[in-house]
Amino acid sequence: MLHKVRKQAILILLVIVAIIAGCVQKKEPPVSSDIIAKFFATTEELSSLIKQKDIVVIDARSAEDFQKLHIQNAVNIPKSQFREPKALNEILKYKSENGFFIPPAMAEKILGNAGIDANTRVIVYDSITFPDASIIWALLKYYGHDNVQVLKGGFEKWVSEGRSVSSMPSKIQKKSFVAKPRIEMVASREWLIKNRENVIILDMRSFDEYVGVNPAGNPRGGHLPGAVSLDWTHLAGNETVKSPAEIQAILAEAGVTKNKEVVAYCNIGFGRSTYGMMVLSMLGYNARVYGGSFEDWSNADDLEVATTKIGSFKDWRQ
Amino acid sequence: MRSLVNKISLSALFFITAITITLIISAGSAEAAKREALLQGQILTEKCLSAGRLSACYIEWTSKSPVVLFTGDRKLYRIELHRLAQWKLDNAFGKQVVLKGIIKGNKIMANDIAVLGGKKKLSKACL
Repeated sequence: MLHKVRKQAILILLVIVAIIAGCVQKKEPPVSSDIIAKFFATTEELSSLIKQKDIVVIDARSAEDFQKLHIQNAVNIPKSQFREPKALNEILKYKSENGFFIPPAMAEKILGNAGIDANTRVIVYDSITFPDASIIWALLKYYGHDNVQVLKGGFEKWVSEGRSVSSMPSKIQKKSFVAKPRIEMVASREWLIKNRENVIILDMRSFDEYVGVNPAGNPRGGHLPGAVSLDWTHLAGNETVKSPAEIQAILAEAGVTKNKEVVAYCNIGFGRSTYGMMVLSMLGYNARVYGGSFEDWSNADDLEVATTKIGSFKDWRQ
Repeated sequence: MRSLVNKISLSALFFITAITITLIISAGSAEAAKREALLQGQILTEKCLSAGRLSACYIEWTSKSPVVLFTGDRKLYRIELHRLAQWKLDNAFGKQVVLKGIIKGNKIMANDIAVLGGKKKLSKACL
């Protein structure tokens, strides 16, 4: 009898220990420098690689900035190319239905014209932080090209280190880029409606846009119901990106965990949202981007947009 | 004798179980306390509030009196800057806002802020 009680006691204790072990929050392991190196190239690294034939350096800044000065032999792909007025209707339809910001034919043309094929190593930069560089990163990743990194510190760091720059047009040898979409990287409107209860929706826009006081050109201001606000600038700080430990702390405060898939969105589906997806992917989160983003959601009249009730504040003297 | 041992064992089990449940609940609460909350209210100083100056709060008082968020349900939270930039808080002074941050008792560790409509004007004497 005594043995039986002891056995039961030990069994119950084991169960309790298992429950505690399951409930205690696991601290995220540090992100190794190898993983960070997969996402970022240093200025020293680019400097040593720049004359190699199988490297293409993409300047993701505006055409105006590029024309003034750029890294030698860099090719300019400004984000304005993804909102060409002539193709805008086609783009909007595609991104709403497919969850990515440009159709494959357009991607093949832009990337092929930039001299990228399946064997090309791509290093992309913008000014210092990298929302615009993340667009090219996401574009290549989504269409099946993994060999891409963002230049840490961007053009500003490159210039501050006295490295060579040019204002001359670059010589580009066009290549054939074959787009192979990875649909697991994106969320369409339909997908999001089906799955929104099971994912963390992350709003990478400013808090003003999230609350709804700044509709940013959309018919309705606010955010997707249930979305968590995380202004992308909080992740960038004054550098290209904050340290993994700092980002993990910010994500934890926002309630973003690794046990759920994360869908990042911004206003038009590239830039701030692709930045979020890249940072989350670097830290090992399972992340998608909602290519349609708030522009798509806000224009669908049958979908609810959440806002903070303006004017619900009451002066206690009244 | 065996009965006594059984009783002691069972009591110990109940005790351990109770402690475990308490630990799990408190761990959950601690985790929840680290999560951001959104609060709506007006940015003032404690001094303004105690003087009833909700519509004309002297900005220089901010250096002498703690800055607070006064919510619609008459709760008062002292604001401490966490990730929120000082200039953003300054721009919101006297105004109705939505504040995002982590609540710790009567304090909010502020991470972001959005100014709502119905701006409260500051006294000209202060500007």
